[in-house]
Amino acid sequence: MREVYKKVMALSLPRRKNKIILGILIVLCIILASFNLKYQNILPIGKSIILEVVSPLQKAVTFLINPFIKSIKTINKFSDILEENRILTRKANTLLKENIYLKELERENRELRELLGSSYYEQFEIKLAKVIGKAKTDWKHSFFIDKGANYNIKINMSVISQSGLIGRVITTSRNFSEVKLITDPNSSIAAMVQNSRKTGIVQGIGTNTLKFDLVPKEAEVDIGNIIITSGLGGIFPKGIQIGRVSDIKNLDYELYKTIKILPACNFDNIEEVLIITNFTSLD
Amino acid sequence: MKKFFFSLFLLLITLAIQSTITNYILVGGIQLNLVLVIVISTSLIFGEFFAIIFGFFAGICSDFLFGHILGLFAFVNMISAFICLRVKRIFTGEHYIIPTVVMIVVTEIWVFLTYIISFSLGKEVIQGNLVNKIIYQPLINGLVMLIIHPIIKKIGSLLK
Repeated sequence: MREVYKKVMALSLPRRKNKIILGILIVLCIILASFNLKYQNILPIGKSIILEVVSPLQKAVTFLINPFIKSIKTINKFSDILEENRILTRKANTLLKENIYLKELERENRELRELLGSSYYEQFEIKLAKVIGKAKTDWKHSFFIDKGANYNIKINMSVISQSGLIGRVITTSRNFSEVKLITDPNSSIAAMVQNSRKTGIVQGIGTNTLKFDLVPKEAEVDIGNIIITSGLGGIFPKGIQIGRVSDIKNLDYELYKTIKILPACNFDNIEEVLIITNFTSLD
Repeated sequence: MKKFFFSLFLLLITLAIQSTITNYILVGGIQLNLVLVIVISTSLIFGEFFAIIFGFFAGICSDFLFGHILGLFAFVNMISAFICLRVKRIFTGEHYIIPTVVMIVVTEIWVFLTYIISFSLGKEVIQGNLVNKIIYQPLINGLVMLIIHPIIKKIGSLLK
């Protein structure tokens, strides 16, 4: 009887030990989550350590797969190129006329700038960084870039592309940084309609579209209107394009208009980003 | 010791791939969860104790890189790793399809758990996205498990 008991114990002890470890780790998870909710700075510290280890590998993998990805994208795009070419030829004719008119305006603008001093955009210093990794989950949309504190990259610096706003730097390690995209569910940007100058908040909803919130129902907003940063939050400079209005609804039970925005940047295709390094945020 | 270094190396490679290549492997708009695949695959090979510890550390690293609440992925990955061995006990024999079936079942549990926790923490649940996750996430994870598990099993047997 004793031997049987010993055998049973010998079999069940490791399992019991595992269950105890599992219990301890579950409690640890709860403690970590509670600490994280209270002290928000835990996550960035750990992240910068992990980034330093994982990012060189990310960089290597990105370097290896980029030629394949580019080739696949080119093949996929080929069927659209002919149609695009026809549309572009038509557009080019229209733009040629506009170009003549704009050149005249540019000359006039240059003369006025010289009178007023330096231009608004010339005051920004811009640094180029390569995207080496992406984190796209239901709770988070972010990029990992190959420039960090060594390149004077700091938290809250605005990140843009040629098309428009991408997001802001949220974590930096020595050689790498993480950029929170404007599509991230926790992202909020003070914005305004370029034409009517009506202000609101652009929020990420975790998909490829954005929500333009807090816009009064009587405000003049139309589909296709360009949305730009208003500069009110103190993080992003004023006047950077965020996207275009793609859908507007005036729901009876809502206090504000329900507006959807299509971002100016296609986040799936971005390989390089520009960081504004000398705009001082209020944070 | 060999097992430790192998797991660490595997985890680092997985995290690098998860944030690069898997962004392009989308089925129904759903991304492959390679970290979970590796956790389940190694758990099936190395046993319960390893499953709990590796699930926890893989989850913590995922939390730092992809999460917004520290401990969420650690908890869910660890529970999934623990459950996978219980699910495996239902089946007898060593048929090559068993790890894939286990992966599919565990992924459903993983999706369910993450959504329950996120919902209770006040995160908005996008219905279409949830339906896609329930349908496609287990499929894509199961398919990749079918390819990856025999390779890891072979390396695991060499280490043993």
